[in-house]
Amino acid sequence: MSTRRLDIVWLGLMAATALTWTIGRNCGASPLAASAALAIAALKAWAIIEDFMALRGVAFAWRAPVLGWLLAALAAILLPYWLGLR
Amino acid sequence: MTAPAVPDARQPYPPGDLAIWVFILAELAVFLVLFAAYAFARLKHLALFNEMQLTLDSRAGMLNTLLLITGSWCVARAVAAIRASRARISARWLMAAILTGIGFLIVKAFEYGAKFSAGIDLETNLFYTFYLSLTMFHAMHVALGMVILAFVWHKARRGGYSAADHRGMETGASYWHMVDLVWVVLFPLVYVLR
Repeated sequence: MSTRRLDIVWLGLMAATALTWTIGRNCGASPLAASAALAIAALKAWAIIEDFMALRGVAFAWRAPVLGWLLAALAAILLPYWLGLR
Repeated sequence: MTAPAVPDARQPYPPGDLAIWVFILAELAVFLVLFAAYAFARLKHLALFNEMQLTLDSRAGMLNTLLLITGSWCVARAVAAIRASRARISARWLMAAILTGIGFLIVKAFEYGAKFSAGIDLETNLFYTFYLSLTMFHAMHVALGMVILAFVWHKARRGGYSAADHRGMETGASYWHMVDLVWVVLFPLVYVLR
């Protein structure tokens, strides 16, 4: 992992955080805003897992539980959120 | 135990000691249950959660996210530095990460202080029971991560790690990244989702 890539990932994560906050502040209660915020969170988490945790290139058996956790967490949040929209 | 010196080669195992990864997976499982509990409690008390969420300081939540992400970046740079045999630089990156952790806890203390002085506590309502429990549980992990990083920093300063042997640093780094990872999901869940 090059330091340049780490720096780019960091800047991207900072920008994504600011975007999430802006969505939350300006878009109010809307399924689109919520979905966008969670999609951004998923991308951020994925970058942390692959680049900061350095699981990119690690055997799938070790990456799978962490990436699986991310999917499970998103599902555990989105499912009740969508049920609440009905 | 010595760590492989080639960081970008295909590795069968994640960085650091395998025991920490068992611990990390267990911690992630606990947070997954807490996230699900929060989300389903919100489903049952939608109006309360939406109303109470507006009483949170979302700027503090964003600031803390920026601090943890920066801390994670600092730790990743510390590992990259030790792999390049730059031990002193590595120790400085670790200290920077510890400072971001201190910053996180200070911001959290101000947030809690504002709520407690307004008479809000764990028993105020279900939202605050979840908010305070979830974020305090996470803050405990930040504090533990800082203790671990402090040990790693101390050893790094004394030249205890090298390009060929830095598994201990990778172990501490992996735990710290887990703390960041959890917060990246927790932030939109608690502060943004409405």
